[in-house]
Amino acid sequence: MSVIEVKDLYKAYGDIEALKGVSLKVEPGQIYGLLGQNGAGKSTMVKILLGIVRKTSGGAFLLGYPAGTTEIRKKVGYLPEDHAFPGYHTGESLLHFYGELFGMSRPDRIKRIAESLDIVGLSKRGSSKIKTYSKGMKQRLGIAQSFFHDPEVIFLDEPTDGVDPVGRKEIRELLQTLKEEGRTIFVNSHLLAEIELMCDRVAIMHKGEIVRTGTVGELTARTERFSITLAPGTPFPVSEVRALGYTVEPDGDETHVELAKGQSIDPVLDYLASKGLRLRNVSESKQTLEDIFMSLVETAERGSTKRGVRVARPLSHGRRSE
Amino acid sequence: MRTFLAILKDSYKEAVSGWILQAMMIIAGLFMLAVLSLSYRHLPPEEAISRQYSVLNIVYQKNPDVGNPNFKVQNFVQTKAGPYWRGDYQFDVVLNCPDEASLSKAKGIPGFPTTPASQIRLMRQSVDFKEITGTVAKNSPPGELRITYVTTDTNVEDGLSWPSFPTILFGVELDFMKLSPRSMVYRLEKNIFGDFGVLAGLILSVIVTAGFIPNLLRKGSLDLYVSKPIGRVQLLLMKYFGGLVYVVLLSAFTVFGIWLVIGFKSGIWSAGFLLMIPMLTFYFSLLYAISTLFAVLTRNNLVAILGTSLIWGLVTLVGYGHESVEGINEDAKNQIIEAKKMQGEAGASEDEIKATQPIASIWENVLFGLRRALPRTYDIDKLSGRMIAKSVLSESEYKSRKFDTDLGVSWPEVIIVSLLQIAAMLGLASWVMVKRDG
Repeated sequence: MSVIEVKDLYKAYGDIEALKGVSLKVEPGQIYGLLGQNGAGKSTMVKILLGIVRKTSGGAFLLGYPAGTTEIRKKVGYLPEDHAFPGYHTGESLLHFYGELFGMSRPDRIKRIAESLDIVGLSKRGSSKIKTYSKGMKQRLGIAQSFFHDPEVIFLDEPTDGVDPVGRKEIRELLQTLKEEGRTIFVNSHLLAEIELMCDRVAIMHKGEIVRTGTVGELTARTERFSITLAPGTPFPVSEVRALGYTVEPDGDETHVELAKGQSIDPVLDYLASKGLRLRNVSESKQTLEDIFMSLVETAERGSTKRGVRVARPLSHGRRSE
Repeated sequence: MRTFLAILKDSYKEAVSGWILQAMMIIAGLFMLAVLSLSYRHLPPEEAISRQYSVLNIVYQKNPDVGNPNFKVQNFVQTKAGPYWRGDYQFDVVLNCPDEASLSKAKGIPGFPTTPASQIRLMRQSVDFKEITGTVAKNSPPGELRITYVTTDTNVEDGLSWPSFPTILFGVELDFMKLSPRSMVYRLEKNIFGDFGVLAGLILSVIVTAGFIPNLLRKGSLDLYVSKPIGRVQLLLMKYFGGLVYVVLLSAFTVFGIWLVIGFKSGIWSAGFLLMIPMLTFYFSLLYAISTLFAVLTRNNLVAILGTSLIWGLVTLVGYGHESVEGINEDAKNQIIEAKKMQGEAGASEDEIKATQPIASIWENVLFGLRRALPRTYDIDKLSGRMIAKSVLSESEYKSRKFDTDLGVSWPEVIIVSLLQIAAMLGLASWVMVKRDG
């Protein structure tokens, strides 16, 4: 059974379509990343799953039950993107309050709150008023409140927002620990590097549509690509190398050679050597998630432009949920 | 239940997080201290009667026609031992004029008390003797009128209804303010605390609590609440009750404290005043339902404050207007009936009454309808005033202030209608909350 299942999900705010038939599945024990630009529809989808926003049509299920019911929310943790914790609480008293809403017993709360604050590095400030916290501390508290009640699935909307690099690393490690405990974690982010580092599977969302899903490895896997630089003043034999069956792309002093499946770079290097051309540099270039993301977005934009109707709504248009 | 208590506790934290509640409690504490400094001195009957005549002396001293008439109370004796209000007395009231001619002139001034009957009427304003007889002394010197009075008991129920002078600041006597201790307590509980204190407290409570619901609904806050296992309607209602906690805390501390101090100082343990705690909470629950509705509709605490104040002010205006119009027309009606009776007729016809009404009855009916339809804060205020009076004043004081007249409204009616109004406003607010996307 999938922990999260979304089928052909639509959401419209009046004339504005926030989600246009989104479908995805998240299996238990995964850290699943939903990647997209601001306004892509990521938060809207999570809010539908939590019952904060109503869907227009389609299906949204959590742990096998229709999403958004009060009962199912007991098993869910959530960190919203723009959270505003009441400043009159201390970190501890806020978690006690939320724990009571989740029906946790007092001894259980005391134990779990101490552990959770320790995990997020707030144990020394637990008794301070939240209004005295920095943005990073509030974010850590937000993460603590998302998992302290032992949920099966945790939704984190931009979890590393406002957190320094050391804190980000700690959050990544924490998510890994939570995953190892068997929890499913769904992360919304526009920070590609973060997603790449922490997620098992990724979906890329653009303008309310999922444009690609897969593991990070699957998404970044592609034909190998080498950059070759010859000695100054030596022209690269583009047509000759192309004649060998390679894709060649000159780029200033550099030349990129793309290898098809099963091809090796060695015949190219042998050819250059046979022609007495002196090499200055040969390097293998790796494709990142950012490359993929940018390429997908550009492709989607081009497709949208061709299809005309689908670009009726600009990205920044109207929606405030993200 | 656990969820409900959690939200109540959270609302309590929110309420005490500002400085207003604490400031109001400090002000209430200062008021209690001021009450603690109050006391009274029973006015001896001789002094009470002498003061009454002293006023007359001042009024008529400069009258050249009667040549400085001067009243004195002499030979005052308590003939039956006991507290003032259970005593029997004998005393003389002596009127001295320069000569017999002046005395005769004085006797001719309308309303000038020179007979036992007129003097008894005057003295009963100070001491309500149960029985009193006056005998004019014979063989008084020229220009002197001496009347000897013998009294039996008084109509005053107890020492707390006996005329007294209040003292403030642990002993400064206000000897111009003759009141019974019961009247003093009534003024403290109803006029000073009930009118000014409660008004200030309720206004501040409306201001403080108006932010509770908009804070819940603001971006980044509602998502956190709604993602917890709690329904929106449940959440809104619990927050509403949480807001009432503020007033319960404030009124319980203030009313109970003042009740305790007044009871300790005066011996008047007025249950009616203690009932101000639930009464104030009920009163505020109406205001807070209005505030909640505005807050849910607009998510803006300023609109909630202004909207609530506007409706509250309108209710007060309508209530006061209706009472005034009713009173003016009632007076006119009584006057025409009285006039007709003087002309030997049985009374006035409906048409005659209508014709002499200063304000057309349509306006009275409109105001009556509005008063019934709008939130009943004005009626609650009127009824609670009666409630305090009933438990503080003696029966004769209660009647003399005309509190035994029909108010035209009753607690059961006001409570039922108010509960329905609260339910309607919260129902509408809940519906909006549920329908809201996000």
